[in-house]
Amino acid sequence: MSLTRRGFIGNSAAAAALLSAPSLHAGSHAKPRVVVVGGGAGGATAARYIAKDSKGAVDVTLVEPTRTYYTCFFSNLYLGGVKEFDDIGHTYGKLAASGINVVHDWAIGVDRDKKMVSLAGGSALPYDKLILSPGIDFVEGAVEGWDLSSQNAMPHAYKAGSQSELLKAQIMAMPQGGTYAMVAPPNPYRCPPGPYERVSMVAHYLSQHNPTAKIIVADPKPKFSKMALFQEGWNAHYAGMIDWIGSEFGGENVSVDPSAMTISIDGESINVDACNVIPAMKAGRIAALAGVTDGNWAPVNAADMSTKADADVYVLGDASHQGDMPKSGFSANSQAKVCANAVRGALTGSKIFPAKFANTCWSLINADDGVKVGATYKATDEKIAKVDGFISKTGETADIRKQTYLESEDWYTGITSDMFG
Amino acid sequence: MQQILGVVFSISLSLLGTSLAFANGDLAQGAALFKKKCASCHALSEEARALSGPHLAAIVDARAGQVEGFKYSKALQQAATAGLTWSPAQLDQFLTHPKAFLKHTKMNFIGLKGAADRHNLIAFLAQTDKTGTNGLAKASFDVPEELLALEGDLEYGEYLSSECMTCHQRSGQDMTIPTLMNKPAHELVTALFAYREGYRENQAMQLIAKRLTDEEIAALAHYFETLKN
Repeated sequence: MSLTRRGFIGNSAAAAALLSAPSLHAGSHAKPRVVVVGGGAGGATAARYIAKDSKGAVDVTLVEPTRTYYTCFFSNLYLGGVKEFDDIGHTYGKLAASGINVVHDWAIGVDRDKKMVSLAGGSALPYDKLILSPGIDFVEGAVEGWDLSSQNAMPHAYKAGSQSELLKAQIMAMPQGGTYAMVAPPNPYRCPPGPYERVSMVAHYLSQHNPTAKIIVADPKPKFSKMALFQEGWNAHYAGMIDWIGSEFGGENVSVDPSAMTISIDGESINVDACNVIPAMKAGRIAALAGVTDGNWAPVNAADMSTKADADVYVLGDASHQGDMPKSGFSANSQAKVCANAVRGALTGSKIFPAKFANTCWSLINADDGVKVGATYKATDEKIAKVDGFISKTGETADIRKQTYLESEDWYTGITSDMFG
Repeated sequence: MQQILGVVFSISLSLLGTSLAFANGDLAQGAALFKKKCASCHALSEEARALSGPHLAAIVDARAGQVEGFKYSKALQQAATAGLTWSPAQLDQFLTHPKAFLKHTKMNFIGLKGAADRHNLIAFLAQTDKTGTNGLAKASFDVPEELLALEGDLEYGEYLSSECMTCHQRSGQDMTIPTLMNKPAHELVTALFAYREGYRENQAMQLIAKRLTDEEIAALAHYFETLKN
């Protein structure tokens, strides 16, 4: 009997019935083993769904270095003073209590022949299926003058946690009338509206505490996500405060000097009081160490998020190169469910249903001024392809915008309990 | 049974009893007014987490001051003890100028001056049942009997439901996004049908519902009905 991957997924019910569960995984251990690397929106969700839906039939290990995970989504609201730092922190106790083996360690290598993940602490984890959801790392040398050793002087704050706290402290310490600069990233990057929501939230804070301060954004792109909505909001709420310099005006020609606290945009040097450098991004390093990347990202099959390089290694979320979905927590969570369904089916013979994906990104422009963009997606042979979408409209009433913000608050509670139990 | 449910629904969307005087109110206008003037403080479902005001599910012809957990003003408590009932006529007076009707009411709302506006709003409120099956953007609609009668595939429903759980909370709490736990299947079928066909407004929900087949709606509705908080 020969089954192509596509045939297997497409005729999953019949295929699963033909192949009894024990024949589907090798080895002498009692239960099939899944190792998930990365406990964010992709990894935590995948671990939780595989454990929950297999009802103990699959051993699930989650490898995540941090004990408290701070979500990138809503971290801008913390910068703006709309949320507290503790509001965006989550622990793994409920996942552990539900039977997932939570290991707080760094994955530092993958031996795909032996099917083993090695950890910084010295131990190794065997797997039948490996799910990598490592998020992003930064491309070295992407912004002239900046590297990780300068992240205290000029924080990226694009992995939430201590970096977010640091950037907030620097914004709060700005002198009256001071200058905040942002170096925005080139496509593709985590959370397309993220830098612009951040500009909005910094402006929200400054307009209350430092109303003569200025914000300068150097952007290597000519346009950005929800641009019309953000620019409308910036004009309405923060007139004169924000200077966005796109690529057409030299925004891509940028360098920084973290020791002098200057930024040079198109040859003009500017003194800054706080500087948020968000460099170009690539898949979290473990994806490259596993040998499943091609360039900066890991190409995957849309039907189940398995990598093009290895059918037993899956990559979720920001690190994957999948097609039309934006790199967002919502997308990673959506992909995790498709992946969990496919992995569980492959290991236990449970029914595999066709892939369905969705994403919605809410952004806050000012207190109670929320906007959103969303789309649905399907799996094709080439990629995850967009089906349909929507975006908030300019000129919406304050009531609608408040409703949208309240909706995002409920979504936050929903997705974090969907991730962490 | 499914037949009966279908009938119940079409009745709940028409207007009953003492509300008959308001039967010719413009529901779409009423819905728009509710959204604009009331929705930031009042939910329509008794399951919703309280906003700053009490929910208004089935408020028309209800006795005043009965929402559990809401701390009413002394003035309203006294009026309730004295037997105040929110008949359409009383609501009409109250909404004209709340502080004139009840001097120390907590409701900070100046009132609706237009008689037609009050009329439409009360007509809209009168067709809200206790679960808040309301918020209908357009006037009444019929859910096809065949759709209500469809049996849902629970295993498929479980898989499909994972998409819902990104936003809808398991805890049973809800405010703007309602919980779906343990919701009667016919309610969820009705809601998803209304989103899919554009009778009910929300960009995200219309988008999600638009790609659901009848079978998928039935699978989801029957699966959520089995879930406890």
